[in-house]
Amino acid sequence: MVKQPISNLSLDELLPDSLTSTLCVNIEKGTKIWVVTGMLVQYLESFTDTVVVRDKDKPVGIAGGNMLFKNLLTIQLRICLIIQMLKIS
Amino acid sequence: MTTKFIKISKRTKLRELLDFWKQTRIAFAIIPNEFSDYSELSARKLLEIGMRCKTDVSVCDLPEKKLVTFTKDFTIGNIINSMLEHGTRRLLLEGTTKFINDRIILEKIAGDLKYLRGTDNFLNIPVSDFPFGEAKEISEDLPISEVSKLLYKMEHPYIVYGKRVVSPWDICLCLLSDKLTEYE
Repeated sequence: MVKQPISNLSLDELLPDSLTSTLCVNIEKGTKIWVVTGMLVQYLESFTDTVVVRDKDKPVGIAGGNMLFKNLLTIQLRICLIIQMLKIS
Repeated sequence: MTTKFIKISKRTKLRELLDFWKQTRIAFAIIPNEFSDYSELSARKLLEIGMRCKTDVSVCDLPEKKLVTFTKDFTIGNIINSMLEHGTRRLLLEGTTKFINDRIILEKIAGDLKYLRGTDNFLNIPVSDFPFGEAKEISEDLPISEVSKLLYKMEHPYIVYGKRVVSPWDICLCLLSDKLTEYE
């Protein structure tokens, strides 16, 4: 019998005892970025790694490290631009 | 927040999950659990699969990838830009096994920098003001199952072998190999 690659197996076949052992860490839609930052410090690189954004219990998105960085870059660039404009004026 | 995440079922095949992760470059999925809620799967979780593979495929067989490094004269803005540009969460300090990653940066923001309240030049802060992590260096060409076990036990999973660096994401990509056919 030809053995098939494990990638063709279902997740339940591969992790029968532990597939659902890591519960989601959740935040409600509209949670402030600084709160999410504090949470991610605890969870990044762990089995959780990313937090789930819920809207009235329904998962609607996720938030992780690089998403915060994109947000941070945009905000910081805006601040720099405003400071430059204030200096010019 | 991003809405690019996948909701899987117990019947989802490993390949389907990994193909989606490769497309989005976000190693994360949710799955309904027995509590009528959701559990989650990350790259680190899939190390449990790597640990149970019976194979000769070793760390040496992992594809070589370009090392993304930084030097001590980088600013944190340079670091974040490099992370986003190369789609990586960790950068290695050139010529060393020290690294900086997203967790270390967010830890600094949430701690010393008090969530950036009153900091208007964050992107210009020198990276040398941040602490660095230390990757585990291995000298032996270990099989994937052993590398997965090592990564699984590490608080900050990152291994250096010669010119290769290995994270849980690299193990996930390796699980797609047709050479992996035996499983405990």
